Amino acid sequence: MPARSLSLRNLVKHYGALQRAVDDVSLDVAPGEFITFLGPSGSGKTTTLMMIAGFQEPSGGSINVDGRAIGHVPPYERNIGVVFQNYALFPHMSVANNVAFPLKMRGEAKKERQVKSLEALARVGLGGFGDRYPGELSGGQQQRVALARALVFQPDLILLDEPLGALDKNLREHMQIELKRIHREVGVTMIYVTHDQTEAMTMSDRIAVFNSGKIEQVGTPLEVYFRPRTRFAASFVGDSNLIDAEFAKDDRTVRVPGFGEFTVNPGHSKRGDRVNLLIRPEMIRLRPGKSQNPSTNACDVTVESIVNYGDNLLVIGRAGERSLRIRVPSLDGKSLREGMPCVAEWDQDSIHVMAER
Amino acid sequence: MTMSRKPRIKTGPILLGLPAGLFLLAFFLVPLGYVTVLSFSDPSWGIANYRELFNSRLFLMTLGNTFWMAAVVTGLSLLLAYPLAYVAATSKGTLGKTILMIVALSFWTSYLVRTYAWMVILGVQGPIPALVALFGHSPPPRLLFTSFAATLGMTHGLIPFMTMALFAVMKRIDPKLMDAAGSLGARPWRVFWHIYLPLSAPGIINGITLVFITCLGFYVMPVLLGSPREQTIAGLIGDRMEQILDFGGAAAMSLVLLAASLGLFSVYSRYFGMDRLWGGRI
Amino acid sequence: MTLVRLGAIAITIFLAAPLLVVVPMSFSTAPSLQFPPPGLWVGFYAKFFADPNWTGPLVNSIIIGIATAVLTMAVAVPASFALVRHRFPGRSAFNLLLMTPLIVPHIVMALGYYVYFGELRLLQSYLGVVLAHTCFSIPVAMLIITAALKGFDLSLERAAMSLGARPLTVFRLVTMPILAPAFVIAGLFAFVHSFDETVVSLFISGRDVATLPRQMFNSFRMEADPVISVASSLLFAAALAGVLVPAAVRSVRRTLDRRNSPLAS
Repeated sequence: MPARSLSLRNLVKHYGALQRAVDDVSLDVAPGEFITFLGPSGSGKTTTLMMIAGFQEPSGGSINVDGRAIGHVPPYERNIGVVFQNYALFPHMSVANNVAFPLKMRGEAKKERQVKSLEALARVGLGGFGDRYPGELSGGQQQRVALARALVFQPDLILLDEPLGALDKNLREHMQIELKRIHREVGVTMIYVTHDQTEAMTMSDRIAVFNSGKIEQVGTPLEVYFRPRTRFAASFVGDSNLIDAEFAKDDRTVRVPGFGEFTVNPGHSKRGDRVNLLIRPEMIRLRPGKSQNPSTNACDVTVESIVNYGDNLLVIGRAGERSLRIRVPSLDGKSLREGMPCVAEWDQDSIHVMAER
Repeated sequence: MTMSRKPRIKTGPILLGLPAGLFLLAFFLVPLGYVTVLSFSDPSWGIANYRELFNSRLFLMTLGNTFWMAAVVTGLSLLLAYPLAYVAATSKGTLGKTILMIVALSFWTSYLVRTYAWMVILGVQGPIPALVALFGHSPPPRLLFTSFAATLGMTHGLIPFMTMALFAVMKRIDPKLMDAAGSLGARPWRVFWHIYLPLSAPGIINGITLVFITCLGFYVMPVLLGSPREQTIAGLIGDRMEQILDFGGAAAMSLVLLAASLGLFSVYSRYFGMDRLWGGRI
Repeated sequence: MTLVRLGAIAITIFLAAPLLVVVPMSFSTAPSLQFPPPGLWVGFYAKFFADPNWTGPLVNSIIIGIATAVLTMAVAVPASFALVRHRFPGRSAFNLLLMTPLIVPHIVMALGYYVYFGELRLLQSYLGVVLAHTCFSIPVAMLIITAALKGFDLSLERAAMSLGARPLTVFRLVTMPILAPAFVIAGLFAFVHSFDETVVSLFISGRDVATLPRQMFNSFRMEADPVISVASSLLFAAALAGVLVPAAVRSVRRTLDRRNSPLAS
């Protein structure tokens, strides 16, 4: 299947005068890429998707597929496959007729429709289900039919709107793997909308983090996780310690009220800059006792509470007014008790500095 | 390429709604306007028709009788429809399905057919008088053409409406709530009283409104089954039109009936909302 | 609990029993309303179908009912789309207008039509009765169609569009078939509403286009013509069909789609 690029330029959607659902979104998606729009509900990710699909008209900006402007093209001429949150399978048509529908719309011969829809159903693992009706299928199976229907006409893009939201956890993980396999096999450009950060992390080539109508950051899952650009991106993806700080004397020393001074890797900051520090909880080490020689990247905490997640423990360590979230492998944390004094320490590389917004 | 769009006047909904709107304007509101004008103009302009009505003992008695009958029918049909709807909404077996089936069948059967059935059953040669006679009442009492027959027929006729209004609300009551109340120590009748009844109240209000308003304007059953001496407003209006050709008087009565119906309805829709009223009929 | 169930069974019998009286009466040999019938024969059916005073109104009612259903659907379907899918100024007033025919007593409208159609020379005409019946049928049909439309998942239309269907095709292949049962039921309700309507027909249909209910009503009042039992039985049979038709529609549709499948040989 030929893969296409997608380019959004200054896309805007407003309802009425004040409410901006999508506020100046620009993004380039490479051919064959799997990109995820990640964000909370109301962040504009679905509205952006709906504008790409052509169900909502942009208030401004442009949408291009392989350099061709499609902003004014009606949805039925866009050649974009959409997988809906609730699958949107036609209840009065059999599975085979659902999958053959786009081919019929394109005037393909019956023979052709039959071959292609069988092939698409086989690809999603539903060979032999053609005569069933959507109402007779499980959620996961309906999901696969929806995918087959979006694939069968070789669309330029496939848009997926929270497609796994209605499935239970195990099935969801299974479908994530399936979806990636199909993406690999078919090679079509896919745009995936979700509010589930795990889904975004595991599946995407790149993630676009949406917040209040804007894209806060676009990057690979690892970039977004370890080097978030904003406080929002840091807090929405993964568990985090976000600490306000101020550069105290040079570009490597920050002062954190209540914690003392930390050393960070040198960057573009200068003395007096106020910043946000991100330390991921799993990057912090914890050992019982008191710090011997006060080093800059450590602090004394008292274990306030311990939550057991099975493979790891979440320890809330208190240092005066502040608290730190610390993830410890379960075996390492066996000896920890609530009320125990401990030292929390981390590497200089584990502190990520973000300009305060 | 940049797009911008001005808000445009929506012609779609206007074009879609126009046929229905114009139709009802021309063939519903205009005739209703004719009735209004007639009541003030026939035979001469003024409020003479209304003055006459409210000085007429017959009219006031009929008015009272109409409201009384509507109240009795509404009360009886609520009493009978409530357990019916309750069982239909809560039982999973065939009983619930059978009830809904019979209710639907009754609903779809013409009032005239049901009227005919009651004429047979209550008629002089029918089974009920025969049964009464069996218990030594001789000659058998006259049941047909009495207020009793009209009330019975109307109650029977309106139970399906009431059941559907109740059922629409009851089927949405989560049965787990009753289990929860039971687990909290409520005995069955208290579960019913404190949980089920209040939750089914919207259905009761819908049903009562629907049935009462229908009763006020009911023509067929009171005229065919009821007593000529204890008429309802609808019957009286019919007589005025057919027998004495007093259109002004009939129009004035119509407006009183209309005012009562619309008044009740507006009270209902003011406090309970219009959209839910016929939920049960769908 | 069992007491409530027993009560419900008793009330169900109370609802059903009178309806069951009607059919044996139509096969009765007795010239009066005697129940149970002294003997059975089909003579009243022969009389019914031989008497133009009965067959005429039957045909009239069918013609008027069909015309009413068609006209009702023609205005109610677009109006339902306007109400459910659009927000526009005056929407709630429009909704109120569409629903009022349910509240206004038929006898009041009978008087209104008698005078108004008298001026328009529509008394004792098919058109007059159809126009009046359509007014009563519109809210009933609207309730059914709007309920179905509210339950209609818009993403189905969006899906069809994204798959390449143009707006009219979307309506023809997706919206229409999914809403078809509601349309059929709404049309059926409009027909039945017209077919059963007594009061307005009584005053405006006259002898020329007398409807079956008018004929029945008058023969109830005038003489106890036992042929009424045939008319009643026919109406009851129609009601029985009405209860069974929706289920039948569903199964037929499914069969049709199966035949259309690309997998069918």
